[in-house]
Amino acid sequence: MADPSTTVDASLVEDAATAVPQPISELESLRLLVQQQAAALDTFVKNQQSVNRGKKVGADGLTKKERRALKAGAEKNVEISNAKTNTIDESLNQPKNNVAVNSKSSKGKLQNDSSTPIKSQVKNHTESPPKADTQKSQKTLDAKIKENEKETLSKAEIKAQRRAVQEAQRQAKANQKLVVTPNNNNQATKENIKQNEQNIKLGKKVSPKIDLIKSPIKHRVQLFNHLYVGDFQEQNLKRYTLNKDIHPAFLQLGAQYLSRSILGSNARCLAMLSALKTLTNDFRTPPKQEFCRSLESTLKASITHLNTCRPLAVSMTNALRQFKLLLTQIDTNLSDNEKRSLLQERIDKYIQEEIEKAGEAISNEVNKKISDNDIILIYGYSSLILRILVDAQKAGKKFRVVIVDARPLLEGREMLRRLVCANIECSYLLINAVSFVMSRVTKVLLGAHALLANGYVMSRTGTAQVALVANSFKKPVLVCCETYKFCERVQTDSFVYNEIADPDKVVTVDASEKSSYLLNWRDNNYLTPLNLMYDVTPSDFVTAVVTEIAVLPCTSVPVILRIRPVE
Amino acid sequence: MLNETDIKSYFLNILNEENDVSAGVAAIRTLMKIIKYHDSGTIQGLLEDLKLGMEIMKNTNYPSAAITSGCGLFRRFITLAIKDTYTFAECQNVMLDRGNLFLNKLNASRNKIKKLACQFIVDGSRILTHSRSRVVLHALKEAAEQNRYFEVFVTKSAPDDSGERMYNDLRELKIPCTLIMDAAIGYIMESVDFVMVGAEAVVESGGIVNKIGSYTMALSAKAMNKPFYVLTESVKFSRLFPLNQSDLPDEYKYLPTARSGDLSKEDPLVDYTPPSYITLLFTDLGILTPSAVSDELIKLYL
Amino acid sequence: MLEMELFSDVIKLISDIRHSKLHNSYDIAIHTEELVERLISEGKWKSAQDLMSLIKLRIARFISALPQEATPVNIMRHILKIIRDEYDTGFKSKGEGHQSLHHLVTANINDSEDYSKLLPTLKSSLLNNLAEYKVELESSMDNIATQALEHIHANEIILTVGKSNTVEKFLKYAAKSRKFQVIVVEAAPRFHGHLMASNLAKSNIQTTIIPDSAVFAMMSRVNKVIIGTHTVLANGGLRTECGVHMVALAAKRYSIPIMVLAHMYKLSPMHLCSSEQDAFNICASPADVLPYSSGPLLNKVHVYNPAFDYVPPELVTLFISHQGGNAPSYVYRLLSELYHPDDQEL
Repeated sequence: MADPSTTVDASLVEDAATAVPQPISELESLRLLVQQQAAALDTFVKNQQSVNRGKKVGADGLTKKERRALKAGAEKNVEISNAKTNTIDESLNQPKNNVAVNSKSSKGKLQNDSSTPIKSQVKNHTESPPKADTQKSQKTLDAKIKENEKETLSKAEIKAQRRAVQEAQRQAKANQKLVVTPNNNNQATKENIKQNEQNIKLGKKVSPKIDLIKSPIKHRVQLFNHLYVGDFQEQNLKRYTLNKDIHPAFLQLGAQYLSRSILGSNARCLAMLSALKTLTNDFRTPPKQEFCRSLESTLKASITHLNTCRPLAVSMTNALRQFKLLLTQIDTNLSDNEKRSLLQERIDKYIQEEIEKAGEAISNEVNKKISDNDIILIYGYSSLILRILVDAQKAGKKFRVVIVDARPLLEGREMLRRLVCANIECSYLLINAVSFVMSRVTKVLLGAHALLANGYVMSRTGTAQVALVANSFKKPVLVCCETYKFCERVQTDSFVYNEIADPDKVVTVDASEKSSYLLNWRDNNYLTPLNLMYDVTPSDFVTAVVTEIAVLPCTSVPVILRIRPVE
Repeated sequence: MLNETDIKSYFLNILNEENDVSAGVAAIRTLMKIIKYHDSGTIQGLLEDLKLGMEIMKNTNYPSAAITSGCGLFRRFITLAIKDTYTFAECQNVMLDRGNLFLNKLNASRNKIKKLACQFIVDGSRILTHSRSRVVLHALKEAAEQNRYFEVFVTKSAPDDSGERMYNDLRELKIPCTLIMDAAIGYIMESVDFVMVGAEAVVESGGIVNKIGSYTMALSAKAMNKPFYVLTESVKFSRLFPLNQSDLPDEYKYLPTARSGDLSKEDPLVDYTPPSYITLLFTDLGILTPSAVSDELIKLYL
Repeated sequence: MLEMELFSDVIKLISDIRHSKLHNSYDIAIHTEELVERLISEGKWKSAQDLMSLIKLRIARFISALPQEATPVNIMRHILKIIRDEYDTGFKSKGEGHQSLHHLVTANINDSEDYSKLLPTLKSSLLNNLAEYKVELESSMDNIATQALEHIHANEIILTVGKSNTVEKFLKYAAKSRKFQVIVVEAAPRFHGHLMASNLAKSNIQTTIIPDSAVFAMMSRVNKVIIGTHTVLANGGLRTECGVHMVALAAKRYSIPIMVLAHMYKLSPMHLCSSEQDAFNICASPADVLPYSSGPLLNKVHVYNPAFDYVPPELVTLFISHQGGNAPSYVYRLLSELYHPDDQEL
C-alpha cells in the first residue's frame, strides 16, 4: 500500500487504519467521496449565477488566484505522520475517515484535482470566453489524471478514477450550457458590485433595486453580499474534502469550526493553539530547508484551510501573529528538537499568561464590583463571565444572575447549566423580555469577541441590544475582555465585517409542536433568512471595560494597544 | 363696599387660620366677598373693584402665581356669567351662586386628584418630593390609609425650609421618610422610583411653575429616566407662556418687598419646568399629558 | 333570572377568546359589537340609564375575567358614549365633555347627569348608529391600508416585528405600486414573524427574516419601522408584543421613525402605573422559553415569558388610524372623543 511518492511510514499507516472505529474498505470510501464531490459539483454549478464574482476576496484576504497558487505550491512532498490521535476530545467520525483515507494519498490527490478544475471553470467564465477555458481545464484535468496513472494502482482504483473523471466531464458539459446564458447577469452583477461599494462608502440607505427586478440574486441579503462565501450546503460538504498537505489536527479543527461544535473566541483560540502544538511536534523539516521557515509555510496552508471553514477569530489572529513573530526570532543555532520544545513551551506560556492569568486578574477586579444582593444580567455564553461568577460564588457573595438568551444559537442554556451546577440562583429569559427585567437588574456583565481600536465592542449578535436597553434604564454595563483580544481594526457598524452563518438555523424551530412556515424558503425567491454571528456595540453604551491590566473607559482601548508590545 | 385693609385682612385671615386652603382658593373667596359687598350698581365698577382686590392680594407675601391664576379663572367665570343676565342685582346673585358652585367643585378636586395619584403608588415605591405641597401630602396620606408600603424622600427646600414641615407632617402620618439636602437630588435620583411634586401654576405650554429646585429635580429625573408626576388642581391653570427662566414675570419670582430693590442679586422663589420634563399631570380633570393642558386652556378662553 | 341573562353572552365571548376561537383583534371587535347590538335590540331595558348599567355590568364582568384584553371593553365604552350622545341630542341639552375647564366654569346648576328620562326614538337611533359603527369597524383595516402610499416610498427598507394583519395589508397595498424591502423580526418564542415573512414573500415583496438578536445590527440601514400594537395607552404609549421596546430603542438611537398602525378600538384610557408592570403584563408558559426537556434544571431556575411590552410615547413617531395620522401627544384628544370621561375609570 505504500506509495513511492509519499514518505509515509507503513507502520504508521496501519496504526491509523486500526485506529479508525469504522473500518470501511478503500473502494467504498472512495465511492463515497466521489459521490460527494459530484454532489458538491452540482450545487456549485447551480449557484454560479448567484455568486458575485469580480473582485471577490475570500475571508482570508486572498483572491481565488492566490489561493490556488498557494495550494499548488503546497503540493510538495511533506511528511505527515498520521499515527497520533488528537488530544482534543471531540466526537466526530468524519475526520477519522479523513485520516484513514489520507494515508492513501493517491486518491487524496485525485480529490484535490477534481475540485480545482471545477473552480477554475467557474472563475474563468466571468473573466474570459467560457468555452475556451473549459477545454483548458479539461486538459489540465487530463494531465493530472495521467500523472496519477503513473503511480501503481489496483484495477479497482483505476476504475474508480475513471468514473470520477467521467462525472467531471459530464458536469463540465452541463457547465458549458449554463455558462452561455448568464452573460447578461455579469453586467448586472458588476453594476451591483459598484453600487454596493458606493453605498458602503457613502453609507446610503439605498438597496440595489436593479437586481430585484432583472434577476433576483437568490437568497442573499444585498447588504451582506460581500460576506457570503457560497451556499451553506456546499460548505457542509467541505468537511469531507481532504487535503494531504494539512495536518489532520487542523482538518479536524476545521471541521469542528464548520459544524460550530467549538464556539467562543477563547475556546477556538485554545483549540487552535493545541493543534499548533501538535503540528510543531509532528513537523519534520524537509531536506535542505530550515525548520522555522518551512513550518511557517505549512502553517500558512493550515490556517488558510481553517479560514475557509470559518473566518478566523480575532483572538486566533493575534495568537498566530505572536507565534509567527516567535518563529522569526528563534535562535537558528538550536537543534530542531530544541526549537520544537522551545516553541511548545512558549505556546504554553502564552496560554497561561494571556488566557489563564488574565482571566484570573479580570475575575478579581470584577469581584470587587459585585456586592451582596446584586442582580447581575448576562448574555449568552462567555467562558470568562462564567469564571467570574463562579469565583464570586466561591468567595461567598450572595447575588442572583439573570441569563438572557437568543436564537438561533441558544448558547445561554449551556451557561445556565453551568451556573446552576455552581449553585448560583438563576433566572432565564429570551432577549425579547430584556425590557421586562431590566428595571430590577443592578449590573450588566458582557463578554466580548474583540475590542476594536475606536472603543467599540464586537461580540455575539444581541449584545448591542442588551447594552442598549441597559443604557436606557441607566444600568452600568461592564465588558470583560482579555487584552489579547484587542485589535487595531476600526468598525462603526455591523455590516462591513461580520460573519453569515447557516440560514437554516433561523428557520428551524426547536419547540416540539411548532414547525416553521418557512421550512421551504428556498422555493421562494423573495424570502431570505439571515443569520448574523456578530454585532458591534457602540462605546457610549459601555460604562467600563475590565481587562487584566486595568479597568478602563471604553475610549482608552488604543492606550492598551500602544502599551502592549508592538507586533 | 370693602376697603383695602378689609380685603387684605380677610384674605390673610383665611390663609392663617385654615391651614389646608391654598392661596388660589383663598383669593377666590376674597373676590366673592368683594362681589357680595359691592354696591356701585354697575358691572364696570364691579370689575374695577375685583381688579383692585387682585392687586392688593398680590402685594402680600404669598406666592403670587397661585393668586394670579385663581383670580384669572374666576374673572373668566364672571365675564361669562354677565352675558346671560339683565339687571345688576340678578347678575350679582348669579355670580354668587356660580361662585359657590365653583368653590365646591374646587374643594372636591383634591379628592379626585388623590384617588388618581394613589393608583401609581404601589407597594415598594420610593418617592421623591420637593418642598411642601398639600396635594401631594393628601395623596400620600390616602395611600398610607390604604396600607400601602412606600418610602418618601423630601428635600429640605431652602430658604424657608418648608420641606421640613412636610417631613414632620409625614412623620405624623407614620410614613417612612427621609429628609435630604437640596444638593443631594442628583445623588438620590438613581435609587428612587418616581418623583411627585405639586405646582403653584400650570402654564399654557404644559409646564409648571413651582418652588425653586423643581427644575433641577426634573432635569435629574429625565437624565435618570424616572417619571416626573405633577399633582395640581385645575384652578392653577394660567395663560402664561414663559419661554425660559428669565421670561417668568418678576412678580412670580420675587416677593413684593424685594421687588423694589436690585433684582439681579435676589434669589428667586420659583422656577419654570418645561413640559418635556413632565411625564403626567394629575388634575381634577383627569390624568393629563402636558400637551392636553393647552387644549383645556384654549377651550376655556376661546 | 336577570343575573343569568346578564352573563351568558359575555361568558361566551370570554370563552371564545380564551380558547383562541377569536384570534385577532378585528374578530373580537366585530363579535363584541354584535353582542351589544343584540343586547340593544333584544335586551330588556327602558331608559338610557338601564341600558348603560347593563353594559357597565358586562364591562365589569369582562375585566374581571380577562383584564389584559382591552378591545371589547373599549368597544363597549365607545358604545356607551354613543348612547350618551344620542340621549343628549334627543333632549337637546349641552352635551360637552363635562370635565373640561370650560365646563367647570360655565356649568349650570341644573345640569342633570341622569340619563333616566325615557326617549322613545332611542332604540332605533342607536341601532342606526351601531350599524354605521359596524361599517366603520369593517372598513377600518382597508382605510388604514390605503394610506400606505403616503408613508412608503420606493427603495425603502422597512422593519416590522412579528405578525399583524393590519401591517400585512398595509405593506401589500403599497407593494402593488412601489418596490421596497421588508425585514421581519421573528419574535421568538411565539414565532409569528415566520408566518408574516412567508405571507409577504408570497406577495412578491423582498423579505428578510432575522432573529430578535440582530435588530440593533440591522437597524442602521432601516428606513422605517412599521408595527401594529395590542393596545394604545392614554399617554400615547403602547402595550405591544414583547420585544418591541427593544426595537423602539434601537430605532430611537438611529433616529428612525416608528409608525404604529392602530385601529380606534385599540385606544384605551388606561395608564401604566408602575414600572414593575404588575397589572399591565401577563406571563405565558415558560415552556416556550426553556423546554421541559431540560429536565431537573427547571426546578432551580425562574423562567420568564412576558407577553407584553411597554413602549413609552417618546419612542413613537406616528399613529396611523383610519382617520389619518396623529402624533402620540394627541392621543388624549382622540380618547376624549371616543369615550365619555365618566366611563374612563371602569
